[in-house]
Amino acid sequence: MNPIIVLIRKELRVEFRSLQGIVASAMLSFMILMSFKFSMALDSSFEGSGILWSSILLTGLGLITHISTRESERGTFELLKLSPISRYQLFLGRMAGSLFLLWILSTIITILYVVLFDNQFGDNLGLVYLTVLVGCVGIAAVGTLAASTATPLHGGWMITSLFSIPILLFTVIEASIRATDSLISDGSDFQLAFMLLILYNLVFVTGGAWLSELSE
Amino acid sequence: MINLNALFKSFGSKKVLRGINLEVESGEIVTLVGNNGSGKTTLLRTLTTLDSPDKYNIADIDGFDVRDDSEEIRSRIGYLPHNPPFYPELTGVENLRLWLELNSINNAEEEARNILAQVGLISFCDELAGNYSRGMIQRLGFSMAISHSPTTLFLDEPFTGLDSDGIKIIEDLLIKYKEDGCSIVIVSHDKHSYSDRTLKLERGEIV
Repeated sequence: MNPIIVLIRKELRVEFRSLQGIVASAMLSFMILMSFKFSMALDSSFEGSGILWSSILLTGLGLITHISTRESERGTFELLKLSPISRYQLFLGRMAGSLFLLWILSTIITILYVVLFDNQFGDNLGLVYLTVLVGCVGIAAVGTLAASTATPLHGGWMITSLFSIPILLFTVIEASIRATDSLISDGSDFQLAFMLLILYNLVFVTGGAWLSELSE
Repeated sequence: MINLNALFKSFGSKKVLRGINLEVESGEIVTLVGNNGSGKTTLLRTLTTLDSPDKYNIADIDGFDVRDDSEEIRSRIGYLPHNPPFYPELTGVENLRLWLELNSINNAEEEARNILAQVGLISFCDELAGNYSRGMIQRLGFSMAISHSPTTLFLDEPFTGLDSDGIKIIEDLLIKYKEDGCSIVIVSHDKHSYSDRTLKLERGEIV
């Protein structure tokens, strides 16, 4: 069996038996969305998807850091490093495992967002959800690479966020917000922003795999 | 077969391994003894490619260089660390199956049950590893080390937490692997009767 599939299956099984990461991250995202909801109670003219993406970015990185810290503290990351698979396969397997969990989390966040902030996206909700799923690829790639490097260090969770957030904000998140905002305003930017998002994802996934191989 | 000549490893300014020379033939068991901090675990971690050596003249296993052929080395070695890592959310058989699948072993489920039977864990193999005792974890770790038929075994304190039955099982398996031509390095505080040689490591040197 392909080692990447083996690693995805392992990650899902470990998470679904403990539910430590998904439940905590979903609760946190609910609280973030509620905080925004209350802080903007007087401003009824709000339009835009920045809140959706802030919530996905912050809780998604938290989830990836949690997965990586768990692996590092148990010593199982070293177990995986001892297996005779390439470092790029190890990176892609860990990234894909995190990505599946991130997709579940971002599905919950999107549903909460639509419920709490009414459905601003109208008939374009399907395209918004597609953008969310695609945007998660870049978050998973950068988050996994940063967490793999930082979690063995003291305060690794903080370093992961400090490294990942600036990189993701000006690339994946900006392109994602442009794409989803254009769906709200019926603008013509969607295709361009979506293509840009795919390009960023390609750069981060291949870059992450290449850097992992270099670290051997 | 292990062949080391002038292997050095340091962490920052601390020199941990100072020119290790070691040859272990196929079918030979070598026990490494030494005080805490003498470099025993670092030597094993370097040979298992978990840590990279600073410099060496020769450092190979079965003719493969530890730095340049690390993937090939990892497919040939079995390693039992002092605290064997495992996933507590997975059962014993799932933990071992994961390891076998990463080593591209066919019929991983069946193979995992066979190996767990050999180490005396078959009646507990469907229980979550998180509920295992220290001795059971040690048996699970040992089963991971031997599961992919390695040519070289590195065992760091392999008898930690084991009862007399467990010690007997592991000793018998070690003798069997030795007869099959496996090179075995055991890090221990005690000498073992079945060991061909006992070497002492002191301040990063074999004395």
